[in-house]
Amino acid sequence: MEFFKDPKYDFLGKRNYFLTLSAILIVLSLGYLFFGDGVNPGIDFAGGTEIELKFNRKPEISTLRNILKDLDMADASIQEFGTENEILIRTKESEESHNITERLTDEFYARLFPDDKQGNKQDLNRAQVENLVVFLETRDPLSLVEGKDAYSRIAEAILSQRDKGSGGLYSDFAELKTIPGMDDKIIESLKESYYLGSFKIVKEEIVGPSVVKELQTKTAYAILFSMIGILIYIWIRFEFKFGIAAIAALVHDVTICLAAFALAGHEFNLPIVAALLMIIGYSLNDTIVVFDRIRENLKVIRKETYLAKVNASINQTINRTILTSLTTLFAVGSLYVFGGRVIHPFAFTLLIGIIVGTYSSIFIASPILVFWQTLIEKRSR
Amino acid sequence: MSKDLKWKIPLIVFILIICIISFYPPSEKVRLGLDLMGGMHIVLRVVTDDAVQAQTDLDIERLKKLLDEKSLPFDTITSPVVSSILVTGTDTEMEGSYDDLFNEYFSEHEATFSPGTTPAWKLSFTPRSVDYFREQAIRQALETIRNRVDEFGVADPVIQRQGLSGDRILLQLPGLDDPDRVKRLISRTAFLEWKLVKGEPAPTKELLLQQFNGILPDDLEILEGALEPGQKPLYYTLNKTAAVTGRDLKNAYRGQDQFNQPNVVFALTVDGGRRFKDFTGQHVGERLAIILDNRVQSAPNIKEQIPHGAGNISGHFTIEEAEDLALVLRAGALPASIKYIEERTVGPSLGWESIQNGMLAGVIAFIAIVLFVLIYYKISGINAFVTLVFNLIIMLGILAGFKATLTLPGIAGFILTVGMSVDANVLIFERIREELRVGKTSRSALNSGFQKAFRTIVDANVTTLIAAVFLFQFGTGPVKGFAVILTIGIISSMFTALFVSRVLFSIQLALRHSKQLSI
Repeated sequence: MEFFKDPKYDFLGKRNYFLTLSAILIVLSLGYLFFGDGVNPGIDFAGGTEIELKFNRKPEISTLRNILKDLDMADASIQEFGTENEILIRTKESEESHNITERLTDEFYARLFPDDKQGNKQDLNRAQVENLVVFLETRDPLSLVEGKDAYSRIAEAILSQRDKGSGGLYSDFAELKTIPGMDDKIIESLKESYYLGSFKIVKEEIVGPSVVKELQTKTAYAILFSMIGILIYIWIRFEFKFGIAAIAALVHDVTICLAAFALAGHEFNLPIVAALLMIIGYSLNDTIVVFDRIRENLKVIRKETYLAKVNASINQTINRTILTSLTTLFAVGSLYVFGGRVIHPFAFTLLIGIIVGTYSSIFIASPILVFWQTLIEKRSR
Repeated sequence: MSKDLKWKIPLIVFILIICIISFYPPSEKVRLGLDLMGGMHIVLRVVTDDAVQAQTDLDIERLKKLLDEKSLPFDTITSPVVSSILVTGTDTEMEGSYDDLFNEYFSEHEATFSPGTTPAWKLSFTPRSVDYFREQAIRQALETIRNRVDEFGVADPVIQRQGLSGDRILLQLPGLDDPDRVKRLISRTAFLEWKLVKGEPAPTKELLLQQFNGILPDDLEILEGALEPGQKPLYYTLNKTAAVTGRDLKNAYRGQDQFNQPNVVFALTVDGGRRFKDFTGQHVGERLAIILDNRVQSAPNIKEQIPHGAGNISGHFTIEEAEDLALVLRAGALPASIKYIEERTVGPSLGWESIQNGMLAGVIAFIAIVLFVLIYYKISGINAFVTLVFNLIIMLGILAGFKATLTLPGIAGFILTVGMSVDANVLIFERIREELRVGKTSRSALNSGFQKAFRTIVDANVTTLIAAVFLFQFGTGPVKGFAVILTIGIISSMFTALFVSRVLFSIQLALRHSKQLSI
C-alpha cells in the first residue's frame, strides 16, 4: 500500500498562498499571545497553592466559599472537575507559615462534616500502612497465636483496596468485605477505632516565589541552549540557508502551538515546556528529512531549476512524511483521549504541534529555502 | 550475508535477554516516580540565621559575665543583626582592656570601636565563622531530618542538599500522602529541656512579674504552658539553666499512663541520668517543668529522687501524637527552623489512576500503529512490528538497568517514542521501495536503502537528542523523567532500525527462498 503512487505534485507552485496563510496565523497568534488573554501560567510559573480534594458526597460550594473567606483566602478559586465530587482549590498563598492545608482540613471537619470525627477515633481514609499494622497487631482481632505478620498483609490489602478499588476513599465499611480473606472480626474492630472521613487530599502542590524564579530561569536556559545546540548542529551538517529555513519553521510551529494552547485555556506548567521542546525536535526531524533529500538531489539532478529540485524532494519524501506523522498522531491522539486528565494539556500541545510541524516542513521550510535561494541568485546576477 | 547472521542473531538475542532480565518483573524492577506511586516531594530551606542568632545569644551571655568579672563597665549589650553584638556605655579610657578581652575570648569576632555620639564596641562574626555556623546548622538539620525520615519507615527516601548556597534540602518520600502530618513532623524543632519551676504558675505574665516588682531576674524566664483543650493558658517562672536537655536522651517511645492515656516514655544517657538523679535529689518537693520547643508541656512535683534516668512526658496526646513526639525526640532536635518552599504531594489513588490511563493509552497506541504498519508494508510490516517490540524491551531494560525513574510524562515519552520510532523504519522502507522501483534487485535495494537512510536517520535524531539533553539538564522531577525516556528511546530506536531491522530483512530474504521482498 502507498498513499501516493509516484507523486508529482506541485507543492511549491502555490507557495505564496501557504506563506500568506501562515503569516496571517502567526500575526493572529502573536496578537492573541501579547494583546489578548495570552498564556495562562500554572502553578509552576505563577506560584501559590493548589489542593485537589476528593469527597464522598458533594459538598456545598457556598459553604466551601465561606470557609475560604473566613480563612482569609478570598482570592481562592474553586473548580469542580472530574467526577462531581472532586474539587480543586487554588490560592496565591504559598508560605508554609500559613499552614493552608491544615487550616482547611480542620475547618472542613468542623463545618462541613461535623459528624465525621467521633471521640478518639482515627480516619481510615487517611491511615498509613504502618499505623494500621500496629493497630491490628495490638488489637489482634483474629486472636492469632503466632504468625501475626498476617496482619501486615491484611493492612496492605485494606489500603490497596482503598486506593486502587475505591478511588482513595471508602464511604462504607461494607466495601471492605470484598477484600479476599477479609474477616468480619477485623471490620468490627476497625469500626471501633476508625471512622471513614468524608474527604481526602488527592493532590497538593505548593510552590514558593523563590522556586518560581528558579523554574523560570531553568526553563529559559533549557529552551535557549537547545535552540543554540540545534542551530550549531544544522549549521555544521547543512548550509547556512537550510538553518535559517529550519529555524523559521520552528518559530512558526511554536508560536501557533502556544496560541492554540492559550486559546484552549490550559495552564502553562513545566511539562508543557517539555512538550514544546519535543515539538521543536519533531518538527526539525521532519524538516531535516526533506532537506536531506534536497541536499542529495542538488548533487544528483543537474538540469532542473532549484525550485524543481526542491519540489521533487518534497514529492519523494511525502509518503514518509505522512506515514510518520500518522503513526506519531496515533500515539499522541491515544494519549490525548485515554491518557487521563493529568496528561491532557501535555498531549494537547503535542497533538497541535505534530500537525503544525508536519505542515510547516512541507509548506513553510522548503518555500523559505527557495525564497532565500532566489534572493541569492538575484544578487549574484 | 548468512555469515553475518551467525553472529548478529546471537548478539541481538543476547541483548534482548539482558534487557528482559534487567526489567523483569517490572513491578519490582522499574522505579516509579512520585507522581505514579504517590508520595511527597518537598524542598525546604534551613533558616541558618536562627543558628547564627543562637550562637550570638550565647556569646552575649558570655560577654556579660566576662565584663562583670573584669569589672569593665557597660550600659547595654544588644544584637542589631544576627551576626553582631553591640556594646554601649563602655569606659572610653580603658579601650585597651576591652580590646584585650575581645581578642582573648572572642576570636571568632572582629571587634571595632566607633566613637561617634554614642560610642560603642561592635563585635561582628568573621565571614568565615558565620559560614561555619551556617554550614554546621545545615549539616545538623540534614542529619536530624534524615533520622526522622528513617524513623518514619519510608522506603527509598531521597534526602539531598540543593541550591547554590546549599541551604536547601530536597526530600522525596514515596508512599506518604498525609502532608500535614509529615510536614509537622519534619519542621518540629523538638528541643526538649527540664527546668526547675519557681513559685506557682499564673494565668498571666503580669501576675508572675509582680513577685519581682516587674523586673525579672537575669537567671529566670517566663514560659507559656502547652494549651490543653478547654483550658486557659498558664505561665510558669522557670530557672533559665536547664537541668537536662534533649541531648541527654538515649531513647523515647510511646507508652501509656495508669489511665490508659498515651504518653511518651524516655530514658536518659548514663551521664544525663546521673545529673537527673542528683538534680531531683536536691529538689524533692519542688516542681520540674518539661519544656518542649519553649512551651511547658507539664510540670509535675518531684516526689522523690529519680535514680534511673527514666520518666515520662504526659499531655493530652492521641496515640499518633505520642508516637510522633517520641519519634522526633529519638531523632534529635533541629538546630534552626525550616521553611517549606516547594511541596508536591500526589495521593496513591491519583497515581494509580495515572498508571492505568497511561497503560491504556499505550496499549491502544501500540495496536493502532502496528495494525497500520502491517497494512501498509505487508510482510515487511512484521519486520517493523518486531523492531517495535524489541525497541520496547530494550527501552524498559535500559530504564530498569540504570535505575532511572518512570514518571507520568515518562510514560507519555514512551508512547511518543513508539510512534516516532516507526519513523526510522519508514525512512528505510521508503528508500528500499524507491531502489526497487528503479529496478534494483532485492539485495542491492536493501543495501543501498539502508545506506542512504542511515545519514538521514542520524541527522533527524540528533536534533531531538540535543533538545532531550538540555531538558534533562534543566528539568526537574517528572520532566526529567520525560527527557530520560526520550533519550533512551532515540538511542534504542536507532539501534533497532539500523541493526535489528537489517537482520530481519536478511532473514526474510533467506526464509522466503525468493528474491522478492514484500514491502
